[in-house]
Amino acid sequence: MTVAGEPTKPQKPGPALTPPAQPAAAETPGVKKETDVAPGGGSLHGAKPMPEQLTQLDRLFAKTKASQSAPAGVDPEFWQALVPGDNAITPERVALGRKLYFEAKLSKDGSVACATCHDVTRGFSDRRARSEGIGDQVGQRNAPITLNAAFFSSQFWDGRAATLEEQALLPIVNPIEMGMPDGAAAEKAIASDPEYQAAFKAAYGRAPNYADIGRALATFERTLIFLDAPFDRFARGDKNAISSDAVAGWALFNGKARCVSCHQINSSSPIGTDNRFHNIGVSARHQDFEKLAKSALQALAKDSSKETIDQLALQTNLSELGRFVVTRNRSDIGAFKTSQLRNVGVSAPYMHDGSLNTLWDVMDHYNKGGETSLYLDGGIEPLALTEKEIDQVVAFMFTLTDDRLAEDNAAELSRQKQLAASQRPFRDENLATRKVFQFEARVSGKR
Amino acid sequence: MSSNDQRPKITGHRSVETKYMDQRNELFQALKRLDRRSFMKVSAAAFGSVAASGLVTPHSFQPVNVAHAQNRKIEPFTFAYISDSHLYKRTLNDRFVNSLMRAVDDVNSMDPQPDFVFYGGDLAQLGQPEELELGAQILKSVKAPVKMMVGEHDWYLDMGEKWRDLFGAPNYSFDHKGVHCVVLNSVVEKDFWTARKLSPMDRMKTVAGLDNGVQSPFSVGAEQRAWLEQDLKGKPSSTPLIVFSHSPLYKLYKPWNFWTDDADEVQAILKRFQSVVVFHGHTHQMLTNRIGNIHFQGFLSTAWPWPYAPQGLPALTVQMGRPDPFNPQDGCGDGSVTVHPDGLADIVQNLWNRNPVTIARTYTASFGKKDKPEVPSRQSY
Repeated sequence: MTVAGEPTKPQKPGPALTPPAQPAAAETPGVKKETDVAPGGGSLHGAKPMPEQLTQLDRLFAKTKASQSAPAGVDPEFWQALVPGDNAITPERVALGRKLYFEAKLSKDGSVACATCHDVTRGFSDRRARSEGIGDQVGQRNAPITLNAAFFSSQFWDGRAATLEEQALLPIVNPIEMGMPDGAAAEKAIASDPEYQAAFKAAYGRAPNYADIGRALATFERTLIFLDAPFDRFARGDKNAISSDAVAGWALFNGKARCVSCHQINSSSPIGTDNRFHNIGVSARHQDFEKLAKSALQALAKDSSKETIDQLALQTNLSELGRFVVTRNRSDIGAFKTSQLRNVGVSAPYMHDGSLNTLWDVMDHYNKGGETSLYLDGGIEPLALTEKEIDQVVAFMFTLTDDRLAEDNAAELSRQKQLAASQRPFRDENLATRKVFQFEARVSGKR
Repeated sequence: MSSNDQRPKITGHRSVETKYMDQRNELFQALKRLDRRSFMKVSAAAFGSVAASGLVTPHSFQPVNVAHAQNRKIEPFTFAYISDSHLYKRTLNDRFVNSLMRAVDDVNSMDPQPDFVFYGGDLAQLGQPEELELGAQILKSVKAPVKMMVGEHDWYLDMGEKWRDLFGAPNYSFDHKGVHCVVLNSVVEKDFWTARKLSPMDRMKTVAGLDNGVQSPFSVGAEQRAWLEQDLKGKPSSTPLIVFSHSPLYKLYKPWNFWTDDADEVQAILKRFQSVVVFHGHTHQMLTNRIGNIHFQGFLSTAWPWPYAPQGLPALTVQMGRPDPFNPQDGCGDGSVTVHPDGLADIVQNLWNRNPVTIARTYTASFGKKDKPEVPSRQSY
């Protein structure tokens, strides 16, 4: 399949936030003995070795057992609607999905598993701006956390997959992620393994097959529900569960900072997303949308299969068009899915391209009214938030991390705080306080 | 001259408009003295100069272009529109200022560029000099030539003095690629202020309000109707006409002044032409109508969308749906119009953060039977 659109050069990762792991050669023999882990899978591409991840995963679920029924605090009927009828959650399916999540054999060169970019020890992502796949190729998008993904009504930054089942399969065949030529090759990679034969039989009553790989992975992801945070105790009436700054931040969140316009947290969206797509101006910093949109339309006229869309999104500069590549609606140009707020403290860097390193950067971006383009969401306005107010909203956001990740959350808070003290590249008080207007420079030809 | 008898007379200088009328009359007189053969010769020469000058100020060449229209096929062309920006001083309300700039950015990024950008009136909110100057300043950034129309918000503080200083005559006509275009001042009101001893600002605020029962309905007025008749005199009925009016040139809903009181009389003047398209501002919404030979399209506002009138909505109107209250620019926008050789026009309503809606000329031509536009989605994104 040929992909139109200007390919971007595979890039080496930028400055890693965590020290990049050693290549495969550095793996200890002890690690490879771990029966639960595919040999060779693990510490490549900056991910923690799979055994360490599995240990961590066990630790996270030490008290809370993954269950078939609705997670605590989630309405059972609502939960039922999120689980497809043909893929009910069973312990066998969860176990199979869990095994597959860490399975690097699903990649062409055996170096990438789901857990490579959705690393259990790094908030179920990779702490990189954009993720690295086989052959050290770097894509165009930031890896979202796999926690609570079940609550999204569409998957990926541009919603190009409707279900977790569909989502889970696309990275396997994407040329720069896991690189399998097709689903049959992925199936073949595990089909002769007796453990998998038994696990698929137990889970789905049939031999290993590609579609069930997606189903099992989706089922495992449905157990990654992390919704028990200090904020929830505050919402239930424990006024001391969060700091007074965070309380003030919550008020700003619902008021002056306008966050709630898109990030509603309620029973039908416990993760704080409206499940819609907005151009908040992140990609506007470096894009000529009109030109990109034209070349996207040309490319999609030739082939608009979901695999092509997947490649356009990850491998070409058309990535910045966001939702447009899926819908071809002009109103979707540069629009990306509203992220969840849950566990936001541990999911840096932020935005579809990982271009914002700290939550302070995120606030600076919104405070100045985003980055102007013709497709900027009309709800994005300069906010005139003071430094104190920004600190308060950030304090609030750090209360949304599940207690099981509290340690990581605290570490991230102090790391981000330190980083923000030394650099605030997106801060622009003139724009934030409307001394200068967003369109002024463009219209007067200065930009 | 548009306007109103009570308007303070400007003495001591002849307005651009008056000069233009004189020039026109002179030309008409001169043309009368020519026989047909010589007329054509003069026309051709004048057309050449028009083409060379890029049609920036077409007024003076108008009678000559009429001859051109009779003899040449109409070339399709596109113009963009921006309308109803309702600017306050930027220190009072910067959102509307930013929105107008967004519209300017929008039309400037059109590729290919439109032949001209038509401004649909209500540049200012309360007709104040600084509001109009701010608008004029922003519109200077438009790359294509700008053609202006007046709205009631521009006019009733000083009865159009500042507006005319900045933009010239409120009613004028020009020819473009074989189409005759007429711009009207349709917001003429009867004097409700003298007897009430209203200050200019009180008068302005009364007009800027809706549903107050004090102001009179808008009209084009007898004087301007006479001018229109004169302007159209001698034009064959095959000449395609485009008419611009700030208020809709029909009677929609009087309490909100979505209304032109002498619309019937104006329509009567336009009736003999085979194709007439009227574009109007004022209503801040997608609004489509057809009365006989006349097709009507409303412009979107850059400032805010109005709800639809509770009664009288034309059957051909494709409603644009409820704007998202969280998105202050939703339901707002700008647009472009492509005029075809048959003299009818497709309008693209560029609703910001929604998909643009195209209302094809075949839709109104078939009274809604063909090419019904896709109803804009209820969702804004």
